[in-house]
Amino acid sequence: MSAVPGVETSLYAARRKIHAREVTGRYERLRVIAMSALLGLFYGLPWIQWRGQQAVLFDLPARKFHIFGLVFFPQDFFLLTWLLIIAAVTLFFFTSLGGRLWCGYACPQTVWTKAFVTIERWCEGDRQQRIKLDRAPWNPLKIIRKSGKQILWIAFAAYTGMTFVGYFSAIHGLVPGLATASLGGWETFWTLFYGFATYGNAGFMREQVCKYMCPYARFQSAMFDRDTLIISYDAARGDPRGSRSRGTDAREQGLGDCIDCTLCVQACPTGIDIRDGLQLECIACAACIDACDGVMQRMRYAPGLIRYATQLSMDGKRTRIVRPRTLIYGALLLALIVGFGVAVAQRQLLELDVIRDRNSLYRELDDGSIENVYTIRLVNKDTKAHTLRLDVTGLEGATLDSEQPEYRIGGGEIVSVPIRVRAPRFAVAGSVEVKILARSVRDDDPQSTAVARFVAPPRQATT
Amino acid sequence: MWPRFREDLGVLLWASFLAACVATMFFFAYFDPRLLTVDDAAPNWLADRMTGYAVGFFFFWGICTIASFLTAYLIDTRPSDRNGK
Repeated sequence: MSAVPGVETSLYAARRKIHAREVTGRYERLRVIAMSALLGLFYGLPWIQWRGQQAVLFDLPARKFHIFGLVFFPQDFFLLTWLLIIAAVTLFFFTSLGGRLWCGYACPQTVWTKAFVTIERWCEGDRQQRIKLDRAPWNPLKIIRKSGKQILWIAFAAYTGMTFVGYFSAIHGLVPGLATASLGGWETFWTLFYGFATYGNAGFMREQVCKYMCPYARFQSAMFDRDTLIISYDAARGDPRGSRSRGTDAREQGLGDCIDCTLCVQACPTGIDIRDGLQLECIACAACIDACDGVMQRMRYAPGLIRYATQLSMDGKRTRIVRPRTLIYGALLLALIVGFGVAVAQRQLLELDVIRDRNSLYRELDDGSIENVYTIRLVNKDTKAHTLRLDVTGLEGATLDSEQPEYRIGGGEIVSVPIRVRAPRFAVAGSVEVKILARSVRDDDPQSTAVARFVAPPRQATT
Repeated sequence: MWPRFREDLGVLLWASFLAACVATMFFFAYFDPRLLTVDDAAPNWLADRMTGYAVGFFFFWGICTIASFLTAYLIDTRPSDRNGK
């Protein structure tokens, strides 16, 4: 099939590199503050110590999560799932109110891209200089500028990768390990993996991640309605567009307030023209607002030709913040957060698992009693140590025998204890349930019970 | 054709990466890699949990990539272009 002239056979358009113009203004200040806070949090958090150990450490090799003194085990996994659901509903809630606030200010993709672009600006200059440099043939200066950028990018990405690994493996051991090249195999691998992902996403992919890869970008519009804040160009005020000399009356020339300087287009990190209306590519970073407000100020026009506005307010109607959509998201969010708080507070601090000995069902002792062997796994999820005593209930005359009368388990520790449960021959036949109980010797708190199966020979017919 | 294929490959790897992350998280939340066995014996290389996690992750990623690839291949019903568009 040959290509028919005038019929588009492919919608694919090769990507052109976007050189976003740097802007100043109140939203740029807000973005810099948000970016600094988030990057500071990411790079700083692993270095905080809490009671002698890393405050936030997802210790995967030991299967324990430490978060400011709280210890979480795989059994608490539902809490993490719960937390992720809270995060998702929070995202929906704020999207319905303020549009893509997440994309513009808080998304790691936006934040790291901004950091990488800042480095690019240090090395290659502002927008005009960068465009010129890209077009220029390779010469010593271009090589120096480009390789300087690459070195800084790679160093920054490597440090980012190391910090990421520092959330999973004590960061105090990583830095000396990196310096002396004696890092463990997997630590090195994941540092490179995450570092490479950062380098690729923030250095090269940039807005393509938002346009082609991000699932949220695809469905965020489902949370939008006419009361949602979006970046809007006031077409009624701006059009018809056109250049004019300063100080002349635009209305007399039949022109709107837009002087068609295209600064809003140059400032856009995703390369769109916001004057065409809301588009899927818009990450609501508000760079075009800052660019336009600067121009309006120089023209002595009122700011806000491009502004945060809802569709209703653009149509001259009132915007409602409280509406069914926000009420439902808000109520759901509140319920989830309260539930989460309760679940964390009510969390059982002592966990007890009983595992039957696989090798023998039971043993008959000389004194005529029946013995079963178990392994008990005690998990102390508390931050402080507890001394525990073990006991058996639910079977008449049964006794529990362990190597020590009491077990002291440190905070966040797991201990396996072999135990024997004995019952008199006459008391039991076949398989019955018993309860194994572990409780603090001090005041029974914390305590935990688990049900175990006790096996004895079947009742024999009297001979 | 090549840039288009590259983009498809990117989407495919990325979607399966996301799915593999979720799968890894859920799987290893419930199963300790050190307690996994092959024919009733724990293989030596599973002694290090980090190896277990990594192998698990790349296993899931691989399987998910195959699924993504098949999906992309089967739903692409564009007529083939003899000129090699």
